[in-house]
Amino acid sequence: MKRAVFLGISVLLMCSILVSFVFAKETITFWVPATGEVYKVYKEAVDMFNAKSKNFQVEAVSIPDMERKLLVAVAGGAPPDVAVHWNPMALREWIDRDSILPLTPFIKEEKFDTSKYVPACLEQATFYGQIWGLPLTSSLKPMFYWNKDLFKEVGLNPNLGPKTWKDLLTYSDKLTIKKDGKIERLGFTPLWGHIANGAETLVWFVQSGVKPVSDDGNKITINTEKAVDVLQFIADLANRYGREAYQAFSSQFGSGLNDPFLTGRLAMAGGSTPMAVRGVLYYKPDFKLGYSLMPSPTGKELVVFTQGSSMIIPKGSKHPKEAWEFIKWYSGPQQTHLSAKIGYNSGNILALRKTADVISSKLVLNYYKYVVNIPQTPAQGVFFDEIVRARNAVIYGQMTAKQALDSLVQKVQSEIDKILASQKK
Amino acid sequence: MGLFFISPWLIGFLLFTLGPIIFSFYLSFTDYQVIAAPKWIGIENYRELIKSDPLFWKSLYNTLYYVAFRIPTGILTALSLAILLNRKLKGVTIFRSLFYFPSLISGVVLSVIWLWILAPEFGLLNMVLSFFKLKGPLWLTDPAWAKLAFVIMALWSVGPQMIIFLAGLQDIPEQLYESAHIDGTNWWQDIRYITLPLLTPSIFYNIVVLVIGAFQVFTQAFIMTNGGPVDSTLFYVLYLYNNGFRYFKMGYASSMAWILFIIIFCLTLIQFRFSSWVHYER
Repeated sequence: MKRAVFLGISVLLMCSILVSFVFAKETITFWVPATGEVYKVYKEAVDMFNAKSKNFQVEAVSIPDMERKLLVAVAGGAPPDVAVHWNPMALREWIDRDSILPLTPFIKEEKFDTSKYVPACLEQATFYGQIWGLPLTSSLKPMFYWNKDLFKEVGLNPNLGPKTWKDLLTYSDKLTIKKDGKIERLGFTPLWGHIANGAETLVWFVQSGVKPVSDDGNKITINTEKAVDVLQFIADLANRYGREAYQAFSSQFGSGLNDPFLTGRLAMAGGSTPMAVRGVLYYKPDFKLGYSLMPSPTGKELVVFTQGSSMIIPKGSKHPKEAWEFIKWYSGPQQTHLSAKIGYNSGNILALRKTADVISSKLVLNYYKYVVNIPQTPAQGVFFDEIVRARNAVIYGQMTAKQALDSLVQKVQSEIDKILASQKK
Repeated sequence: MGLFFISPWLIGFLLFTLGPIIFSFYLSFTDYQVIAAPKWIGIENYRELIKSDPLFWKSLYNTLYYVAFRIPTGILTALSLAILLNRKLKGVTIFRSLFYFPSLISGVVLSVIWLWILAPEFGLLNMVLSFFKLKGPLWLTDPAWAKLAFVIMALWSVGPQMIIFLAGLQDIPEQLYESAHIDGTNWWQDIRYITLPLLTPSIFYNIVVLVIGAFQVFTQAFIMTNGGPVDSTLFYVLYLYNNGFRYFKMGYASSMAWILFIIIFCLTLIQFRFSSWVHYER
């Protein structure tokens, strides 16, 4: 009797397991480059998709160290089915190493309409005639922000930011307070905010008509005379109030509640579009934010870069078709939750219009037509690090601007040539 | 039968330690861009590192500089603390725990705390110096002082060395001190003629282990300065990391790893070769 019961239960168990396999929906993995609150917002949208999805479910996994983990996962042959690529300015490095699946076959087959994506963002994911990712977010950087209250305090029109480089210097001098050799308030620095990153530093150069790389991205051309002048300008601007004074002052800089721009210690800054939401809305809702594009040499050169994220299918994904279905939806016009809640403005124009009341979306809608996409080199990591290295060398007086740029070109070009040679075989 | 019992550890060791070590040795002779198969290029990585990579030499110099200051300061601090805490006073165990505790704090938390302590204007360190009428330097933002800032930070983790010294101190028989005091020695003579000679095994052990660890300085530099300012804190392992994970040059990074291994190995051999100053008790 006992044996019969035992047998019966195990058969029942086995049947239920088999049934669950047969009727279980396929689950695909989706890697999200966020943790905590931000991850929850991503997941909300994923839940929306799962509720209406008939054939498969999506599991959103929080991956804080995306850069390293995705690299290793693809190399090890165990990548997620779909992921968010956070660094579209370096997408070429991934594509050249054959680690992403092109989306063009899917797009062509379904005659999928890509016209509703922010053109510059889609362009950033287009290489060798193929589309490799659909834009998820469309962060513009660097945007130029200022503190309207501080402008009023020193007698500047709070609604009119500096337009030219000369204006920038004048405004900064008015806003900077220096007592006994110590800076108490700083007008502007090119060393804080997104403008300080290697990639965004190129804005100063592009504004001046310098072409940093050749059209195919394989030649670095940033050591022209004009470029030397630009680098000197950046270094002089950084050292304008004394290098040591700035270093002492900037050591207090932090993020969140210690953010120098939000706390009024820095009057003007070069940041990203999400910064307007996540900085201002989160920590200082009563902050009066002024914004425009970065001041340029004559005020007429309107340049900004985009660095949103895109959704990609890594090579080795076990469910590329399902991944594509999910990508279409997640980057589609209903992609509004990321904008509204955390200021990650969508890469989809329809979604942007729906959230136009969120300042970061408004910024993108206003300015996306000014985006310039610099061709990508095969060695973006080295290139951007060398830009920062060159700039710092001039700031610390270790090299002249010409020496710094020549050294940069020599180093990065040799890296590019090596990579191209290795990929020829 | 014995092999069977240790097989779990053995398998783990082969799979997760020895295997990867051998594989990284192989990778050091390849051009491995991580997401593509490794391509054999012989000693090209090593040649490029030594002949045409100024940052390799800069990072090596930075690391040697750091090690040169770290070892004496680390040993002296741990030794002094251990001698001080080797007394049979009430509550001395609480002090021992307190001095050991900072070494348990994780790298990231440490970095945040020390960013505050080392802040040029309002940081604790410069405030203390100002009480002695000294103007503290800009520490982490001054290329001339940034590495020393790391040496100071590393003193935080004096706990483990201190414990080794304490154990060594407790091995020294009381009678030696007693008979010395009958002859009228003071505390310095005690240390010089009894404590230090008998402590030499612990000192030697700590130096060897500290050298191996100091060469691998990475976490704080990665979090706090990212090699700056102007590469003054670009330590060897940080440059290795950049090459492997930021520039897709994993083969190159593997060569760097093996060069580091050879350097540390040779240094350790040299230390053993010249260890006649160590008195082992029979």
